Amino acid sequence: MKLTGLSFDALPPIDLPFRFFICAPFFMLLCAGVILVSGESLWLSRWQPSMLALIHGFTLGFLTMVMLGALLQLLPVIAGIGIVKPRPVACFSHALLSLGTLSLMAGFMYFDALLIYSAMLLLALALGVYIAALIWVLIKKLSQGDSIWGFRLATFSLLVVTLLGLALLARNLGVEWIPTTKMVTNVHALWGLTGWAGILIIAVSFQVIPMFHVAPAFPLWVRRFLIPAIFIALILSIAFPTLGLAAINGLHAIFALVLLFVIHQRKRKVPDTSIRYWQLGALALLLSSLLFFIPETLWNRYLAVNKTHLLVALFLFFYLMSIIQGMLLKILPFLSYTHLQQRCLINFEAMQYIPNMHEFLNKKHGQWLFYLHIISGLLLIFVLAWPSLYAAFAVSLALESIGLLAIMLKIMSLYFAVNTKISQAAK
Amino acid sequence: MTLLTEIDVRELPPPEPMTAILSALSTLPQQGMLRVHHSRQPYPLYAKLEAAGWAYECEQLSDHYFLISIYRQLDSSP
Repeated sequence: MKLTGLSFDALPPIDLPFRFFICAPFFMLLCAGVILVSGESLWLSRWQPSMLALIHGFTLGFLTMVMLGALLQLLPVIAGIGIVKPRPVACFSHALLSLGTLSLMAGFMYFDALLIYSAMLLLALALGVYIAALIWVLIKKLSQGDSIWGFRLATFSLLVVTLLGLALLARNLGVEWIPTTKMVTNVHALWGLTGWAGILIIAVSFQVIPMFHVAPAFPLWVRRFLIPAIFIALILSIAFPTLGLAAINGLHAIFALVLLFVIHQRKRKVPDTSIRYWQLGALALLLSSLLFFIPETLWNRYLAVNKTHLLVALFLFFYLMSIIQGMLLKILPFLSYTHLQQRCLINFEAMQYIPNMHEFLNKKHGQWLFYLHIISGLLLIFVLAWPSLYAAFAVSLALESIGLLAIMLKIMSLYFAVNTKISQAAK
Repeated sequence: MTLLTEIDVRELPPPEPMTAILSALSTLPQQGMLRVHHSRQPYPLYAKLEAAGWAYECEQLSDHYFLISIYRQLDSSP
């Protein structure tokens, strides 16, 4: 097949993904603050208002924030086509997602109707505009079909999660669009964690692991069938929760094993913190998927931790957040370097100003962040069993967010300094 | 002087393929052509190449093997 003369999108300006990424550690820091001020009572039930604030701080403020920023760059790289008018879409969605998440967290903490109404409006607009922009790209016939189908199903899941979330908030304010049952909340949570975040990560892994780590491609049967199977299991879980959840956990266990295998098969086995995050995430996913199959009665007899709480902690903190943080450590220096490199196509003299990749991210700093993440995760597990340890978890999480922020600021400031130097040299 | 330069970046992780391509383009003779053996389509590079006055052609040999030829666009100015 010959390809010539077709039009492909360049990477959007780097400040667009940067603005999403830089907000993520601030939301992590805010989550640490919520844990600290809420005290032991936070850990009594998943229905605690401050627990709802905490969960949405992690899922909207950290995970969704980074994923929306990353998609701006991933689509042109994987599919050759990016979001139309990326600047207005990204600036609008980013600003409203940040304000909406803050408003939602405050609304849960203080149960203020005005804050909840504001959050509904801001999040509906932020996610609505971004989802519409994604659909505009994803309805086209694109290459890299396996990953693109993952992006499509993840985007659909985000739409479902957003609509259910809005309906749940409206119900809390007395507007009964949906029946008063915990089933809707469970569907909202499951589609958010395994549909939106989970499917997107699997789709991204099909591209990122072979590309960045010179590993073999995922087996064809995994690329073809895993994501559709998870999506079918998600639909099944609405009517048959036990069966659907069992299928989702079984499929996740398969993905975790294949992911570990593909990582093990990589050609360049150089020490890399990003790959250790992927391995940690895969092990946590495998563990949470296997623990799911322990019957509740047996669990309660031998384990002092609530089963659902532990599985969600493993999935959210040790799987999703590990992978997202690992990817940030990989793509932030890469994007900075690539954007600078592309300027050299016009002026090769500018190549002399581009620093070494290692100058963007000191390997030691990445390792410290990785260890801090493990400590925070273990403290989270301890807090589930002994809530009085909450302050230690909050402090560790705060340190982790500050570490991540410092790494990001260093990379971004180096990028802008070199970019300015190249512009000045060109004059 | 040879007009054809070939590089194989299939086993290089990003951003090394781009570094190799840039380095080869910087020493390419005026009428020369760079042929890159790549494991995937470097889509964002294409737009930048065109903007910088380079033309390209890509041939897909298999699922993970692409042959990309890069050369200077003909100067159409009077």
